[in-house]
Amino acid sequence: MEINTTREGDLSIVDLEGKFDFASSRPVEIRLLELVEEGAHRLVLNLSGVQYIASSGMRVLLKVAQQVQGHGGKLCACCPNETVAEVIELSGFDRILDVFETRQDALDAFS
Amino acid sequence: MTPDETRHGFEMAVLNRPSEVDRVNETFERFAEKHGIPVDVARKLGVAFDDLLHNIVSYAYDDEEEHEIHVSVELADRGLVATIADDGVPFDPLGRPSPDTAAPLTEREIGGLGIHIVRNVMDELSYCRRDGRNVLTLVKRFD
Repeated sequence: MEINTTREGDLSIVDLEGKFDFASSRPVEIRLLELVEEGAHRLVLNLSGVQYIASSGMRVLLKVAQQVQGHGGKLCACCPNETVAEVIELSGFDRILDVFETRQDALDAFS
Repeated sequence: MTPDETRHGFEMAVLNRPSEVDRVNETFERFAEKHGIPVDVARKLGVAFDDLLHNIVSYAYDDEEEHEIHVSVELADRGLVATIADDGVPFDPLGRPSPDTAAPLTEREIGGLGIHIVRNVMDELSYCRRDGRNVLTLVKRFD
């Protein structure tokens, strides 16, 4: 999975591309937790390039959301395809992090 | 062990190693593309294979030996039928309680989430113990 990070002010936007599965979950977890440790406590995960997410990917979202919240920050996601949105919802993770249809909506949530 | 392809499906055996799960998904993706399986259906099967096969690789065996896991996918009338069979310890994943998906962030636990997801993205999921193997059958319909 490709992980690209950009900064817009104090926001960190992470573009993920590929399958968020067992194989990719560990490197994604390491990178996201590094970012949180480095001070990225206002995070947007852009899921537009994610084909699907399995439970190992959901575990990463949970861990990162818990870490971000522990720092008083906020984690949002945006642009999931239909399958990714369905998995997030049926896992109850839409109660844990706000999920927006567009990147701009996610950015606006921090303003 | 190369996949045995028929006109309407394929069968393959993989070893109980994490890297083998990717081989199943790569084979399935080629099959789905060749047969014009709707993208959303193919993605959901991808989720199911990833979760179920990694669960087997991680927890089904109480020895350090190599084991074969048999996977088949068949095009049926407006749907796909997949089976996964392993010779691991008897385990019915459908017997697991569903996780509390309404729990707040600080209390969320991840155990059981994989099978909960698979149950919900498939149309049918059934388990039986047959000839010393755990056999899971998955059905996903499409128009």
